[in-house]
Amino acid sequence: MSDSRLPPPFGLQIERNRLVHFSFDGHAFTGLEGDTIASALAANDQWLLSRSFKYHRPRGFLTLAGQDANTLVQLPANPNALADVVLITEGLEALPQNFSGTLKRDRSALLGRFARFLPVAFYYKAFFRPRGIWQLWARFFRKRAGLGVIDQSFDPERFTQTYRHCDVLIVGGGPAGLASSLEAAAAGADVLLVDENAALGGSLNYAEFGDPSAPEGSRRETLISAVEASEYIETFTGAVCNGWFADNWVPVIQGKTLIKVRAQKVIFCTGSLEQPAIFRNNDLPGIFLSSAVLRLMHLYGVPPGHHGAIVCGNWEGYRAALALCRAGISVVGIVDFRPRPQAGHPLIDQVMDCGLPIWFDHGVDQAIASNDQNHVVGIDIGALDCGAVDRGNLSRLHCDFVVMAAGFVPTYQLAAQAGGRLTYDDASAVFSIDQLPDNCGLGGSVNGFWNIEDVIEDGVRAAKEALWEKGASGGLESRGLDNERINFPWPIFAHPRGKEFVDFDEDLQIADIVNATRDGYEHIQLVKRYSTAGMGPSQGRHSALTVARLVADATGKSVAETGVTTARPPFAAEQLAHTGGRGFFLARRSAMHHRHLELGAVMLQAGAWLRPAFYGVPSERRACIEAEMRHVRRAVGLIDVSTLGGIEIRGPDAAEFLNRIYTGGFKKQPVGKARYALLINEAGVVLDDGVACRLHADHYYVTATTGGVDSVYRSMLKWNAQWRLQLDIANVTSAYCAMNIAGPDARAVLSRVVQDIALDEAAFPYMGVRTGHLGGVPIRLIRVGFVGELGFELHAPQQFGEALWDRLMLAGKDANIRPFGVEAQRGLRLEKGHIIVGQDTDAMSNPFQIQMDWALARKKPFFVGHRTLQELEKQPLDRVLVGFEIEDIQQPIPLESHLVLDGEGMIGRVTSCIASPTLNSIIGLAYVDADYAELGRSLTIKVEGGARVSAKVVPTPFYDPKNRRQVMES
Amino acid sequence: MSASVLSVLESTVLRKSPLHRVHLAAGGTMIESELGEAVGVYRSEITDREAAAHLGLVDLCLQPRSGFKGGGSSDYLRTFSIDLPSGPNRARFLSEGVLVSQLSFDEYLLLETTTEASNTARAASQAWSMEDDTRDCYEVPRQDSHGCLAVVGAQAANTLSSLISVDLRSQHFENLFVAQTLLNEVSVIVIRQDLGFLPNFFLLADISAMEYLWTVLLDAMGEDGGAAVGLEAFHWIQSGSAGLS
Repeated sequence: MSDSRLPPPFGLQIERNRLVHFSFDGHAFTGLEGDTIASALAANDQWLLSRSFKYHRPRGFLTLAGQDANTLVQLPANPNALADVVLITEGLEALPQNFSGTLKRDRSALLGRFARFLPVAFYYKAFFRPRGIWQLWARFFRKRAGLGVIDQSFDPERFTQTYRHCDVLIVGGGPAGLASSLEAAAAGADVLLVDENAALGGSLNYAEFGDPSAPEGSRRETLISAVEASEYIETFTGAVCNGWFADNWVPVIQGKTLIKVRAQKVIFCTGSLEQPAIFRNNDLPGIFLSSAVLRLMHLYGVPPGHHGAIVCGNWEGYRAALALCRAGISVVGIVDFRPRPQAGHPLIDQVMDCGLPIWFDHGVDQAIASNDQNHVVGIDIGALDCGAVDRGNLSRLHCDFVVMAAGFVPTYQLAAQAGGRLTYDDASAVFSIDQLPDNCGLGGSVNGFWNIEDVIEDGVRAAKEALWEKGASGGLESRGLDNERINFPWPIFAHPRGKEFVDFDEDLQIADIVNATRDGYEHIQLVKRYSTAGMGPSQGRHSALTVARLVADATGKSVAETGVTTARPPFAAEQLAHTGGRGFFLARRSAMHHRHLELGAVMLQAGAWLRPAFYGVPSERRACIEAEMRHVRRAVGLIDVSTLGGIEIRGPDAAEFLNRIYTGGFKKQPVGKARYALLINEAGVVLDDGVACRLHADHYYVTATTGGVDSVYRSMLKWNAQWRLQLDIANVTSAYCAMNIAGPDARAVLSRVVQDIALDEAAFPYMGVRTGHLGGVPIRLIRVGFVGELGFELHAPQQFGEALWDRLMLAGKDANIRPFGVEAQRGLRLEKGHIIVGQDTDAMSNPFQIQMDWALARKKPFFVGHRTLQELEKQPLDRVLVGFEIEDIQQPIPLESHLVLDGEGMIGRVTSCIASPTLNSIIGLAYVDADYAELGRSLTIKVEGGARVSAKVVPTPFYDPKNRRQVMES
Repeated sequence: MSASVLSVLESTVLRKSPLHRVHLAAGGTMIESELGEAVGVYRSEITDREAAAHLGLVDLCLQPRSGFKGGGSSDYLRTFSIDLPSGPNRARFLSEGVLVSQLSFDEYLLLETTTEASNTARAASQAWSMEDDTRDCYEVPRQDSHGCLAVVGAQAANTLSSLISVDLRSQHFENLFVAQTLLNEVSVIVIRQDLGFLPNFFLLADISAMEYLWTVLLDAMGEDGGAAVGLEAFHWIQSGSAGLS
């Protein structure tokens, strides 16, 4: 098959002796190593790659550089792969996308005939009128929405992330980037050179610079060899810089790796994007940008066809024509949009020497499709009259490919994200970029230089400026052949029957853009959103300039005034797996974690922690939890509470600090005692709670909730930054393991292992705090009763956790001690009527609503939120957290956030609810409007499935209201 | 209650690394010392040593360490004849094997890094009490709040560069530099203390996240041919026996 290829030096990237077999659309093909899917198909005379998004028009490739949506194909594990980027591999199976029937005969192509019924912003218009019509259309469009198919059975592959720091990041490995890299490296800078293509060289690999005295091959080899030999330059090829973020943070995607680059300086040598000419049927397969044709021949050795026509508004078309002639490919002529230059031009002479006809001051009326509509077979051309084609005197050129050369736009996206301003010069019809920050620079054609020597020199200048001579060297005077004008200002040829495509991704035509302005959307940003121009996969790379020109013309403004839309990251499509990176899930584990697993714990996630929900079989969840609850009430249980927050407050002002930060009184708290601590914010909203243990006159150890400790700690730091009290605040949550032994036998079990703390009621009363030892390990012991039974909370250095747990379990073996989990603890505390901050409170809850005004030390002159509470207290309560009971335990159990109703009106919501094995009824807490809070009031709760159950407001605690259980004598 | 149970209940409890089970599951050979039970060798002495020279991950969670903060902490540490680092985010390695890191203007971390290290960290911790809080120095329980790992070997900086956003190039992150940053969502203190020519990084992070970090690090190290190694190999590198100093 390689016989059809052009001979060397064409085919720079292919290995002619290495065949690669692959398939496309179910047909077997053979390509060469180094081929992309698109180039290999082209070598096999397969020019039809896909169907367009909206009208299902046949599409080939436009850029051959991964810059257009025409080449999107389906790979087994990856939809929307760019066929002109993805290299073929042995056995690769690629499929076309977005067609009904076959690729060649797409039934949906009929849509094109109804284009006039699908005007610009059709979707938006269809939403409005006639009323309700969208529901009809939605069914149709949702079936057709999206491109490609995700293989949900696909095994995830390994994607990684890494960081890379460098002195200079150079984006773009073309002539400017190579020269810039060498200059920076020569100064000893650590250089990272990134290029999206498979090989360095950029335009040196394919472009025709028209300088026979300096063949591009030798220039390329010289530069690349020097770069590869430099120990200061690291190169990433096949790597896309996908955005620019503050302080030169640049994500680079290479294969399955996201490289997070942080550079001191970034030089954008990103080159330029060639722009299409706009004429009827300009999207037919076989119509290419001139750079695409040159890529096809030079990189892959594939001829674009047999007889080509050139349509151009600059000299690039002539250079392409000469390259084609050199390759032995017939060129039927050049259609030049410009008038014949009076002074002549060397390229005109060269072209005429080849015998090619040139039609000056002519434009394209339309491209002619083959009978099957799948390829171009000719173009109709005519003289231009004030920029429009004279349709009265058209000529037809028969050809099997068309080359478009209308101009370029700098690849400005990254520079714009870095703060660069894109401005358009209406006189020369080119964009330029300025106002870049000091840590960024531009080099090469993105900076407006086109002559190859200027491009290289500008790359060197950019490196010098970045490193030492910022602002010193100034700009360069272009040394182009004749200060050539690279852009033709109006390569747009409207046709009465339309189909002149401006945006190939979204099938937008000239009329769509013009009509958007007529609908009142005159600003370029509004035109984009209204028409969806530039919102497809190629992100306006080939439509932004044309859209700006059309909008400018339609609104009577200049292109400079109109501007282009914002270029946001990512520059190219990226996979979610890139941002996900290595797949890990952060989970904090207590020192007893593995012991819990060995004891059969079913774990749950509590914040970042893993905690035992209960011990037993998941299918017997409720029975396990109830058994654990009963055991704590009747004997003794042990629970791991290491996840509780722990904060040390130490220093001469520790008591004063607690007095200010919490609602209660702490100044007179005796050493050796613990007090309940309620934290509210300035708005009086409950933030957290815990106990404050006074271990020394100047030392408090404060507990906080598992999920709240970090914000409590931050809040404390914030307040003391203002108060400047003399103390230290330390979050020691992880430093201490903690476990709570609870139940009637708790004291007996504990006494077997704790010798230096008297545990009897008189020596160690409820809410007492003691320090001592267990197994030689220093411990803090707190008499608290969150579950409503006799209980001790033991805090000890974390790394002793498992051994201490084992010690307690062994000591309690005779008493049949059992571990219990979070679910049982939550049930037990609910029976006791204790709230859980965050579950029974929300972002509006104040102490009055949750009936905890007993925790307020009203005589204190100040505490955080004090003033607000004084005001709140003057106002009637709007809602109250009440206890409720459903006596029939067989009733459905309300869940959190189930509604409390009066008739059909909502009067509150449930916050906690269980079927209590102790009380043999369903109990819970719920917010209700204050009018419904009186004891004995009947409530209706709407449960799962919409059923209603009746409940009654009851006092809390539900269990042991006189607190006799938690102060049991020895 | 039987006599044997009673004797267990009266015995002294030993520390355990949060990675204890991980080491056992991976076939590590455990050794007991006054510090607790640590993994001595992972596979074989030779294999561990080779791995440590290339890229090894070491569990140093039992290694003694302490912390102090407050305006008077410098003065407090000087009473133990401790030479302090030159400023925040710098460390000083004391001849007795103690690594002193300054984490802020008034916060220090002491890590006993070798088997022969003096007990300076422990002594400073044990001597501290609440009875003299006018000196504005407060002990921070680093022994239990933070776990400690070491990533050692020729490829250590490469691997950590894939996980940590700090510029670890040697000219930017020199020997005895300290960084406080994130590693896969977990706050870590990174201290570079090269062992001869071999890069070595101590990582201190929340002890409850140690198992997570161990998994993350081993996964990333796998890309560079790294492995978990025991204390024996680490001490062998530390002693300079690897011939790299």
